[in-house]
Amino acid sequence: MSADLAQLFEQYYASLVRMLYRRTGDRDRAEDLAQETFARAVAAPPNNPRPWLFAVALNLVREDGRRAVTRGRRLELLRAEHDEPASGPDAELERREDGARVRAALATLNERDREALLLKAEGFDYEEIAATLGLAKGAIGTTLARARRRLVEAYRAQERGTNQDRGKNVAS
Amino acid sequence: MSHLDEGTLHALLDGELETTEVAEIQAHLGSCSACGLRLREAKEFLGEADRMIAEVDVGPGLRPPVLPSMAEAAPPPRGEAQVEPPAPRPRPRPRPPLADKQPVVPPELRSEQAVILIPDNESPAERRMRRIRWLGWAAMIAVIVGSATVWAGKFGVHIGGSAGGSAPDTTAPRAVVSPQETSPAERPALTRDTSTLALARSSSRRQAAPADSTVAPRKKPTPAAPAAPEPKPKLAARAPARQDSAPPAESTGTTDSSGRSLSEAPATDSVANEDIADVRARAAEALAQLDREKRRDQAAAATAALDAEKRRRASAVTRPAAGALGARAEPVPTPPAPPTLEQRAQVYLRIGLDEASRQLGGPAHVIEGMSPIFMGLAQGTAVAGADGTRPVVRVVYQDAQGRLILLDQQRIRPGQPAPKGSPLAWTQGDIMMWLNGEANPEVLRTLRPRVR
Repeated sequence: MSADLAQLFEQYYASLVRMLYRRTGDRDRAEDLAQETFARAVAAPPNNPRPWLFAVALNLVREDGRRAVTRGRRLELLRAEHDEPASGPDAELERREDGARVRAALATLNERDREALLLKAEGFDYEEIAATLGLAKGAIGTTLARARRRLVEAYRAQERGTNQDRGKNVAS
Repeated sequence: MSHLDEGTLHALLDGELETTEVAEIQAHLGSCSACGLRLREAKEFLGEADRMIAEVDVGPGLRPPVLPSMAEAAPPPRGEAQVEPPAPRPRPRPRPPLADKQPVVPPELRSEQAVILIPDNESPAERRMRRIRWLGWAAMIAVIVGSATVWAGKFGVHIGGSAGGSAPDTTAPRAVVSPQETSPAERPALTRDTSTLALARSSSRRQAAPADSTVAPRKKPTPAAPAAPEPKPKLAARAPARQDSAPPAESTGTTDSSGRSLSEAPATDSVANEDIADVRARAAEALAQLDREKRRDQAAAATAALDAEKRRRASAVTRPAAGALGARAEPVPTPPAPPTLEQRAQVYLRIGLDEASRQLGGPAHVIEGMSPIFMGLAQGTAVAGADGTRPVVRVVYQDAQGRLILLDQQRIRPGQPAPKGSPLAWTQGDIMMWLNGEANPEVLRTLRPRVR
C-alpha cells in the first residue's frame, strides 16, 4: 500500500464506515465492508478515490457484502476496544429508538434515493453523487428532493403510529 | 419563467446552481408566491432529513485504523471528510513481520489501541489457480483409475482379486511345485503363466460349449500330476507354470473347472478374443439398426401429425433430398422476416432511464397510464422540427391494436428554435416533445394531455 492509499484510509475510513452503518444498521458489517473496500483499493488504486471508494462500498452492500467479505480477501483488523462515553440509560434508549426509526424510514426509500441521500450526508456534491451512482448530474436535485420528502414523510408516519400506540396503551 | 420544480429548489438550497441560474430563480421567487412557498417547504424537508440522518451515527469510538508501517509516510488527515475531530493517537509502532505468521497483535500495540491491517488471504487469481490444480489432480486420478479398470476388464485381471495380484497361497503350491520351480530365476515365468491361465479361465467362462471342440490342443494331454486338488483355483493356476518349466514329457494334466485341459488355454484365449470382437461388431450393427428404425418411426409420426398443407411443403423439401430421380429441388421461397419493433419505431439504440435522463438533463416524460415497451434513441433528422444533429429520445408504446405510439423528446439548446405549436408538437420546460406513430392523429391528440 502506498502512502497515498494510507492517506485515503486515514481520510475516508470514518466517513465510509458511517455511511455504511447508516445503510446497513450493523456497525461490524459496516467496518468489514469498509475494509474490503480498501482492500480492493490496494489491489487497484483508483484515480478518483472518493466516488470510487463509496461506489465500491455500495456495490458490496448490494451484492451481499457479508458474503463478499467472508469469502473474499480478508484484512484482519486487530483493534482495541474503545471506551464508550458515559450516558444515561434513558438518553441512550431514546437515541437508539430515534436511530431505529430513521433507519426504518430510510428502508422505505428506493435504492437510488437512499444512496444519494447518504452520500449527500457525507458531504458529496452533485457531481460526485452522479459519478458514484452512475446518474446524470441534472437528475440529482430531483432525486434528492424526492428522497428527502419521502424520508421525512415516512418518519412522520412512524411517529404518528407510535403515538397512537402509546395512546391506546394509556387508554387501556 | 415557469414554476420551479422541486429538484431545482433543492439544488438551489444545496448550492449547486450557477450564479446566473440563481439570479434568475431569485427574480422568479420575488414575483411568485407559490414557488416561495415551495421553497420554504423544500428547506424544511432538507433540514429535517439532514437532522434525521445525522441521528444515525456509528457512535463514539470509531477511529480510522492505524497502519503502522506507513503512518509516518502519510500526511495528517484532512479535516474535510472527518466529521469527528481526530483524536490524539499514540505514535504507531513498526508493523511486525508477516513471516512470523502471527495474526494476533502484540500486547504492547494492543495497549496503545493500535490497529493493524494484515492481508492474510490469497488473491482471487491464486484461489482460482488452486482450484484448477485440484481439478487437474482429480482428473488425473480419475483417468488412472479408469484405465486400470478398463485394462483389468480387458485382460481379466481382477484388481485385488485372486488371479495374480493376491497373496500367494503358501500351502497349495508347495504340494505340487518341484524344487526347480522354487528357484528365484524361474519365478517370473511362474507369474507370467499364472496370468495366462487367468485369461484362459475367463475366456472359458465366456465361451460357449462348442468352442471347445474347435480348439486343437497345443500339447497332448499328459497324465495327471500328483496332488492337484480340484477345488483350489490357485493350485490350478500354478499348474501351467510347472508345465513350462518342466520338460514337455512331464505334463501336469491338470484340468480346470469345466474339465478342459489347462494346456488348451492360450489357443482358446485367442479364439475367444476374436469372438468377442465379432460379437461387439454385431451388437453395434444391431444397435444402429434399432436406432434407424426408431428415427423412421418418429419421422412417420411427425409427418402424420402435420396438416395437409405442411405435409405438401415438407414433401416438396424432402423429395429432392431423396434423389430418386436425380432432379434438382426448386428453392422454396422463404417469406421475409417481419420487421422488429426497433425497426418499426426507427430506434437505432435502446437505452435505459439513466441514459434518457442524461440526454434530457432530467427524467424522461412519459404518457400516464401507459406502459412503454422500451426507450431508445432515434435520428433527429427523422423528426420534423427536431435538431437533426442530435438524437431524439423516443419512448415507444403499443396500443391494443398493436400500433406503435412514439413520444419523442429532445432538449432545447440555447438559440435553438422551438417547434411550431401544434397539438402533437410542443415544449415542456426546456424539452421539445412530439407525439407520433402508427396510431391515427385523433388518438394521439387524446393522449397529449396524459404526457407527464
